[in-house]
Amino acid sequence: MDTTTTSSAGSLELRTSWASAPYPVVLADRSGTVVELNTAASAVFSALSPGDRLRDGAPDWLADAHLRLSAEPTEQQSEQRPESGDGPHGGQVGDRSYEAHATRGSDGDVVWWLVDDTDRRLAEEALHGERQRTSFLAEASNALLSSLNVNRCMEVTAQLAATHLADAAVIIAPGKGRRHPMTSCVGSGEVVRSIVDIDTTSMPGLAEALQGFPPVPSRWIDPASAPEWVVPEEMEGSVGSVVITPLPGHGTPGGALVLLRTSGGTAFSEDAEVFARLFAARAGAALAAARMYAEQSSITTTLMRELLPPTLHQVNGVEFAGGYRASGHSDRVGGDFYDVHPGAGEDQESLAVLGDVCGKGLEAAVLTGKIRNTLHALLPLADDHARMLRLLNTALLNSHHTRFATLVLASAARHEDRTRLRVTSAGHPAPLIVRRDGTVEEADTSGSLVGVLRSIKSTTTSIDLAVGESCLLFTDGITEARGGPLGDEMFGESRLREALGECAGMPAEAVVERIQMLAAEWVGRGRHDDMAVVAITTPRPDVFSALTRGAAGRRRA
Amino acid sequence: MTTLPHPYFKLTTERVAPHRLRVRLFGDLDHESSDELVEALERRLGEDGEEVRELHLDFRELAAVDSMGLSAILMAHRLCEAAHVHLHLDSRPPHLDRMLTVTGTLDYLTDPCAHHEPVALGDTEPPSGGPLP
Repeated sequence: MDTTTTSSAGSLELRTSWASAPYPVVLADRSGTVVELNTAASAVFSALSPGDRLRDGAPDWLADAHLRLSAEPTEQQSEQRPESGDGPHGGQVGDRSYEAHATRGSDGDVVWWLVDDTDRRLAEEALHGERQRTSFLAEASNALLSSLNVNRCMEVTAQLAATHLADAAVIIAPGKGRRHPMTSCVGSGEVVRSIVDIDTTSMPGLAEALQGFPPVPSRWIDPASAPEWVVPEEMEGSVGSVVITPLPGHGTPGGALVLLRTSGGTAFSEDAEVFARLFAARAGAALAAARMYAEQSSITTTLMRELLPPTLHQVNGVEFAGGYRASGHSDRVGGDFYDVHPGAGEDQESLAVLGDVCGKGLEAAVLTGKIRNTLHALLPLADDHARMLRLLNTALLNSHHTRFATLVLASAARHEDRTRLRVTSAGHPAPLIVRRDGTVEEADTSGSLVGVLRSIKSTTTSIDLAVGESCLLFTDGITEARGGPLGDEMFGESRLREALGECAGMPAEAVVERIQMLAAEWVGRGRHDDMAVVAITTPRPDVFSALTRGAAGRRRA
Repeated sequence: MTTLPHPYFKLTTERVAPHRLRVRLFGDLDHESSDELVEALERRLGEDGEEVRELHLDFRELAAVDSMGLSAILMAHRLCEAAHVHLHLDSRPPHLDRMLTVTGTLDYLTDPCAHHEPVALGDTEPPSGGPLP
């Protein structure tokens, strides 16, 4: 041992202060021999005592650090400013982790101060893990929410889960009866979709998860009890552990996520289960959104199919044509509609209906459907428009809203060379009639809107249309279309009359096209409401004889 | 009609006499603003329903009105009937009058002598007040 008198006095002082220090302290000389160690150090390095070589009783990382440090030149270092080496060293001692700080003496001795940083390291690792999970969840949300397609969402869920959470992931969607759509993925492999006929009670925890109950802990599920159908074929080895997590939907369960790990790998920890639940919450929300969207779009499609304007044609010697232009700023179902119900026989009246329901969207669509169905049912009473409207009004009355509709009924039948019309307005702009000489008249009919008032009134007018004369039913979307040279002027009734005046002698189809074209030109690129028009025309005899033969039967869109 | 491209909607309510409430409407009464009118009336008639006997809707500053706007006026009428309040439509611009005429609602909404039955579908109790039609 190489100590001078002065330094041993100093060492003595130091030693007394070490002895009781709460941290392990080891003093070793230049050659790597332990000079002294305190009680705390003895507790950590039980095999080490003064005089031993550091390498024999302390872990290699400490011995290596000591070797490196001792080899460094010490000339420039003064006794007053003992310098620590090249940053803190650290490593494992048993199951604990330590950080070692060195203080060099001028004689080449090194004092190692060890600080237990096990807890900090664990916290850091936990934080790192948490950050990774958070970024995975964010990535998962992005991937999941980028699609509103239910199948795509299930595929993404299975893929993400199989890559990040388990060896294999299976999603079982709520089904009809025993048939359930199933999506599975193994590792980073292909996603397999199928529909399986299963008994959900055959797998413990699955029936509960499909009902949205909280998941049962993984350790309660015997992996051997996993039925064959839930284990994907591609999965290698037997199932070691299983987690079943419900996919929460918006109020209703959205399915179950089954995570599988092979028996060789690590089982699911409690953390992993909690994490799987967090992931499932996101996946469930995305799936629910996709399902809701799919449902809505199917409702809209169904309604649209019902509400799309019918293709009109010649019926019993009377020409009908219709045109509909949906509001430009919304592609949803609009509030305008028209229908033509052909008469049963050649001398029977056909009924044309054109209407405008207040508002837009689903509620308007529902009211439109109601009106069209009710009128269809009331067809046998079409010889009395006022009565038909009264019955319709009563059917529509509703105590919690005042949504209404305005409409025009026009019954038309061919009588030799003219068409006899009976026209009734229910709160709707009166139809316009263009005569052969281009004069335009307004049908003398008026009445109350339907759907709000307890009792309504209406007047019906009779009109005869000679060959080439037309009656135009229109919604206020045409007259109130804003545009023109200044961009904010209404098309107005006088322009409509003028336009119609030029349609004398035209076939119904051409009348509709012309009016629609003029209104569209007027609007330009501006906003407009729904615009619907129906023209009823007495066709020229040659057209009449050619078309009348093929016009039998009732048609509706 | 005002020249503003999109006049905002606003309404003010004031008690002009002990039994008289005046609601002034500004701007467009349309699908965007109609709910606001109905909600305001529901609230005021609920709060002051005991004392108010006359309700004046003042349309002097009204710009455009669409079918949802008319629906709101019809709802106002229905609410007033239920609360036994007389509804007056004051200072109606020509385009509103024209709309009420075409839709056949002018008499219904403006006849001071008319006693309209409240629509009481789904109610278990018979409507109170007013002779049966």
